[in-house]
Amino acid sequence: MQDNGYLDMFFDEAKEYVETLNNGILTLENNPGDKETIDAVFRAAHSLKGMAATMGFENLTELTHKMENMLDRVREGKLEVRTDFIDLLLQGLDNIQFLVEKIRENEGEEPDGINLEGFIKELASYGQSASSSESDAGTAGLDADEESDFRVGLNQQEKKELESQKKDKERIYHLKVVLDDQDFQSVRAFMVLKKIEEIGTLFKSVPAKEEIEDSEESISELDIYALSWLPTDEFKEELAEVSGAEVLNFDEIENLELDKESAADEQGSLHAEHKVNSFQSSSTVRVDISKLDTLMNMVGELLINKTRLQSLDIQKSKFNEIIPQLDRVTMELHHIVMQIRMVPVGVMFSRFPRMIRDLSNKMEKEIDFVMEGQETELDRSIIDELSDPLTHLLRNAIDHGIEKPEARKAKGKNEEGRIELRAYQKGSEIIIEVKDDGAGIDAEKIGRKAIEKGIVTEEELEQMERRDILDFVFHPGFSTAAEVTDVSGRGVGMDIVRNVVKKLDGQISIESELGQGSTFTISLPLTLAITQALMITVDGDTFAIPLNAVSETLTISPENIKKVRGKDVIVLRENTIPLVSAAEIFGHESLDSFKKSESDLSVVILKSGDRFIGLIVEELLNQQEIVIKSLGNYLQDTEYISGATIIGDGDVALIIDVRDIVA
Amino acid sequence: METAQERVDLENAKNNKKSGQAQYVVFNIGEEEYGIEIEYTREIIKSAQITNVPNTDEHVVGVINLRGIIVPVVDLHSRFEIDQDSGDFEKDEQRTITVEVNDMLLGIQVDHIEGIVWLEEDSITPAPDVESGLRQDYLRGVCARDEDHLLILLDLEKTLFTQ
Repeated sequence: MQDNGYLDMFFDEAKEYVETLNNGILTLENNPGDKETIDAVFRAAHSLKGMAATMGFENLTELTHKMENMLDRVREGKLEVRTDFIDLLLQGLDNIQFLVEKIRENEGEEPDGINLEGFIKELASYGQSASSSESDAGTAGLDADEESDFRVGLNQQEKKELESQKKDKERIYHLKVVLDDQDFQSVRAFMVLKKIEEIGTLFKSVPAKEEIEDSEESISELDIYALSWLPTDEFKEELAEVSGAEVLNFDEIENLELDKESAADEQGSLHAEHKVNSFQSSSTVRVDISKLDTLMNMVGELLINKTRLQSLDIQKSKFNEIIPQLDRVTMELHHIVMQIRMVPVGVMFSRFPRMIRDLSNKMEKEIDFVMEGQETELDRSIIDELSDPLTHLLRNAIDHGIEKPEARKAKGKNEEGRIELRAYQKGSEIIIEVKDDGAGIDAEKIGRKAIEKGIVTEEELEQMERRDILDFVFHPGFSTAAEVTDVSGRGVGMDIVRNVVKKLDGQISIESELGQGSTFTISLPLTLAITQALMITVDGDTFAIPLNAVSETLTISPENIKKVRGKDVIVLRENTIPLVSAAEIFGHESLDSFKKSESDLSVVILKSGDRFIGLIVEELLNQQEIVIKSLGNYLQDTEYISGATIIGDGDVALIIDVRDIVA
Repeated sequence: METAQERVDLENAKNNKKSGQAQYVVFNIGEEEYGIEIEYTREIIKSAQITNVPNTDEHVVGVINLRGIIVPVVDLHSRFEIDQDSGDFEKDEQRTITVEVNDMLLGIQVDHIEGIVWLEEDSITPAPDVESGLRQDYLRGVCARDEDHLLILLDLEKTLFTQ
């Protein structure tokens, strides 16, 4: 068991380096020549290695060491950055994350029985075969005078041949088969090739079939290129039937990679449009978030006490001198603490390109993923919570949104789908949008499903507006994907997404045009900690309403209240706005008693998304800055209340949950 | 926060350990005497200004501001079906015991604090079947302190978290 302080530091730093590596590698994929990024990635691998070595994590040290070596060769110009190189780096990164996770699970010790030798060898041999093809070409089984591509270990002519042989819908597989060290290795090698001929076409093998037949020597390894209609899983399964042969490095090769040369120009121009910014590592101080929370609490306390002091009304010149100064200092302190808690959303976004890349490959979809506004800042605690919901929305966009290339072509769309992830500030809110140009959501289908599930009746549905129908996707247990995949569509998720967003005091809405795509918009408060609020009273108790949810306040006379479909409404500038009484939702008197009253009523018009509702309150007080505090787990599900704050005299005022009222 | 906070030196008491014995904070709700294990308790304060929270369970009286932290306060009268003014205590004897249960800080409003006592684990017996309308689930056991004096020991988790 390692010293915990060091271990925590190790995990913190490892996480940071992994992020740096991830960002850097993906940046490299688009800008292979970017020296700065190469340096940053190299440095991250180097630092990680140093740390791993200090902690005595041998596997991790070895792995990062090999990656560092590869990167160093790139720095020296001995290696070129190509797709296969990026793939290898990403695999390496996965292995690093895997190891770090294992170390965490194993309480600070590298667990036994992890064997990365195969991969580490691959890393090492990559540098070799690509850099000094003259000396090593023989062992790789390739013609020395042809320029070879490691992953597609075929020369140009073979590539062309392979392509001409490949029939539509057929897949190209590249695999390495290791034959275990028993008798009759060559017989088993022969069996493997025979099996491949049964389930597809054997294009090339090293050693070749004839060589195996003639060979006296045992054969331990086979490098094979094959064509087959079988999907990856089935292909692998079939091969597994041959005993004593293990398939390693199974790859499906896309057409794209075969004629990379011809496509390269086109690709370049596409990426130039939204070129990823050159990667930069920032210099920061790491602080435990709980310290910031404490600091925030204390500033809140200070703010409250300052307000109390101000209300003392002491008529002394010294006092009147100090108060404005105290005021200024506390405001500034408050501002800075808020700033410290803010983190650019890019920190969270950075993992998505990799996810999209992997998923779109898996789903056989072509996706152009665009991110904007990574520099937009949000409170740290919001960012931590938001990562899962966004992951879910993006997965959905790939899985249910973007259609397969053929389907898109048939609809006259660009074969490459587009997913946009965008963050920006709008007033005191941060907006995060996930937009795809895929199939869109069929409101009719959603409606039918909602009836099936017994969520609404047919009559109710007829009365509903399109956007309300779309909102059913947030209903627990609602899934519309025709087929359930392992990526999404298990009917859990969207309701959880909404719950998380709600917990963060935000809201989520959908816009979708059938056949054109969908946009999910999440809006969040800039910070969870402090906000401007409108103070009101209900039955003598003071409540706070976050100002960003208040559209306006007005005074109406009871006879302005109309009935529409049995509900109380007021008409405001030709809009019909439903009315509720705050006293009633808090379990006091009913709205009817208000209508009987002679005096005018104070109404706060609340907005949530594009919905409005009028809340009848007892009295409108003032507008003030409040420090938002949680009610704690014991009361967290309290209806209509989202939190509490401490007001000037040290009393607690509850914060009204506007979404509960408007929804 | 105007209320002066009266602290009992719970922390010192907690450090005091004897084998086979445990310390309990003893208090009254109505006439009856209840005890909770000292490990759960944080402090005992004079009841502060409580803000009522609507749409909560009957036993939740509201929240208080405890040095900047919002703490829910529960009143066990309703839970134990005890009349609000059945006890013989003055209003200003009322206290709030803050307890930490399941990682949550909660306040329990009581009519009177009796003190901290040592109890032999052996002296605690399972609760008799009928105990003045109190639901069996809420009890850890009872302890006869003297002839006509029965101390009811609460299972705090169940008392606070049973719906």
